[in-house]
Amino acid sequence: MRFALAGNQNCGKTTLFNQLTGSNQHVGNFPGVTVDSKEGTIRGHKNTSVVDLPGIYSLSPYTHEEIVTRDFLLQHHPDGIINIVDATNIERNLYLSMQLIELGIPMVIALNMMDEVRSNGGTIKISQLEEELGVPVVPISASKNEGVDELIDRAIKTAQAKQKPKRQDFCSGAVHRAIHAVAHLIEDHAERIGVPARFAATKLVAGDQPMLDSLGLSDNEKDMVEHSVTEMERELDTDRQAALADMRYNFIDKLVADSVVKCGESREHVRSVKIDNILTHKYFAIPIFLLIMLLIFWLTFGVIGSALSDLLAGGISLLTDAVSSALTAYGINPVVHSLVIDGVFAGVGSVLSFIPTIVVLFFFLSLLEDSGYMARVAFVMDKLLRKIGLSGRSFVPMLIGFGCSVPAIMATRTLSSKRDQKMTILLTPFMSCSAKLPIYGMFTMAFFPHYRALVMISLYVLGMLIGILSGLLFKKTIFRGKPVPFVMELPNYRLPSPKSVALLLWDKAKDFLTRAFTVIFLATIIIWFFQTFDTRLNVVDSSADSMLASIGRFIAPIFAPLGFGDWRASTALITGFTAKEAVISTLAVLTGTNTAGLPGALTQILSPLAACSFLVFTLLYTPCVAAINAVRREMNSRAGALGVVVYQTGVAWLAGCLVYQIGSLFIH
Amino acid sequence: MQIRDYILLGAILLLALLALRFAWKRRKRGGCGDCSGCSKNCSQRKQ
Repeated sequence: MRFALAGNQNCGKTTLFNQLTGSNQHVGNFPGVTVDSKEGTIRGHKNTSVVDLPGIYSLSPYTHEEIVTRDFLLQHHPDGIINIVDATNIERNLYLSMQLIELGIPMVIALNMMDEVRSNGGTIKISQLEEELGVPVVPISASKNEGVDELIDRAIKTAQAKQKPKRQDFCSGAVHRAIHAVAHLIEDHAERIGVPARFAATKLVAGDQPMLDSLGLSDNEKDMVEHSVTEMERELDTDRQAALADMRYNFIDKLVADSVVKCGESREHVRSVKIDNILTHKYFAIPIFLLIMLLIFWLTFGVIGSALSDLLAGGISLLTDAVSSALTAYGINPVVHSLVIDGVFAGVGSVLSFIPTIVVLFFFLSLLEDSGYMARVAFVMDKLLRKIGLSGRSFVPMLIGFGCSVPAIMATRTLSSKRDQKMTILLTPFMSCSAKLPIYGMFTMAFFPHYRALVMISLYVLGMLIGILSGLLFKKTIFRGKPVPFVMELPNYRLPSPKSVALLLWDKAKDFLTRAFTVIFLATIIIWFFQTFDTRLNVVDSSADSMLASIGRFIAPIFAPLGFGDWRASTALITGFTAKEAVISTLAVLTGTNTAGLPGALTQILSPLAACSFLVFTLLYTPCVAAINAVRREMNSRAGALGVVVYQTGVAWLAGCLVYQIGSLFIH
Repeated sequence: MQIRDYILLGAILLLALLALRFAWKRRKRGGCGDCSGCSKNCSQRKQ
């Protein structure tokens, strides 16, 4: 048996999904976190699964989320629907419930956040709701796991009995006549495509073009439908969509008046409004955001993260020395010894030491997201983003891009406009991903040890600035046009959930460790091989005589104007195509040092100005192969993906060149 | 090179092969999250 979880954004679907299945899907206090459906088995009911669908406000096919949910419900024929309704905002949530009821699928309403309703002095007459809506209603609190067992029992019994909603007709007057006339006309067509006639009729009355196309009506039938609808509009003196909305809200208003004892405005909401007066202030909002980010970066790179990373780096060095001594004691062949110590330990170890930095950074970012603050930032950024031709909605993928470009590029599906989606995909890689943190961390440690936080934040800001400039360029050239309007619900502020934060940190650390022991490990071995042997497979005394050096010297002149024409630096950048962390592991292998010695080795091959230029180039150049693949998939175009690589690498080269050449005028 | 060198080398190569296999499977398993209309043999679809 299979259930669909449907409801508005931020009403607790994913929280309930996690309770039902015991899974760890990310719950963000941020609309738009779930962008596609996820399925899991209900605990204790191994033959029963539940699908978490993206949050929507109606079943009209305009946004990606609405299309995903609607397609799932119409094409995959779930055995039942669990419609989650936020009891603290019941009027708006019931608008979708009424449309779901029209699907004629066995359905149960889960009235969520009942704990908040009770604590604010409100009550809801459940039996009255059940009678008026014609479906079972179960009060729950998903976050506290209250009522969930009863919900599962009711849902399973309803689906097993194939108990369809007892009532689907909520209208009267002109709307009623129009819907029934259309339903009668299209009944056989609807049956042919497997869509309930009532649902199809309501959509046709609303002017739903995809539904009209799928029914395959003749011209005569289309004219008759249009006539019925036009008559309704004339009688009510309003357009069709307003007429349907009025009909639904009239019913909802009466239902709520009869069955809901209104709670006072919740404490959470009152508190949120007061906080928003400051954090979304017309003039202070952005400076406050920048200050918060500066504080986070200082704590991460200047205090906590760097201290922990230094500690871990020291530990890795000790381990490396111990293993090296053991290998020597056992009389291991020098080449094999070199593979283990100069290859694997140096390469992987140099990257592993940055786990604490990444974990600390994401700890703070998840606090911001979970508290609800990031939703405000998207709202505040809307005005700025409009200047470059995007809306605040594009801020969500860009924010995710600070973690990893791959899910960020996938998150652009939530953008309803293709134009906005393509432009956001092109700009998201400029938001420096977390894989580049080891590069920034190592270089700041080597060249700017007293200004770590400042250099880090400067790099992030520079990335955003270049993104903005690129946006302005695109707006005037290949992406002319206006962005779509941005409507977003601001969730109440709440204390971050320790479980949610811990799960996110574990996911991040696990992902980083997996990459370190797979992609980085492999890249390290390959680099070690090419820099240990010459073209005749003889062991070289110096890596400058190796195969890798020959390849590196071929491409190094390209980077000479940027100040890092050394073959080791340019070779390291090439390996960054597989995974950005590989740049550091490659440099460690090529300079023949370990984690502790790499900063010193870097100062031998680069000047501080060249290091700046290197950092700028790394910040801006092509994303990794996984991100390029995501671009190709989402844009459905190899040319688009190639365009991203060429554009970003070109911008990076230009920016690096400018930094070095202009800097050389002042620093000798 | 002695036996222990070959053993160590073999172990590293085995780990490398396992890493490659894991990374390749993960890439396939990761999927794109959008199963509708997709014909790829991705583990995510099977869940």
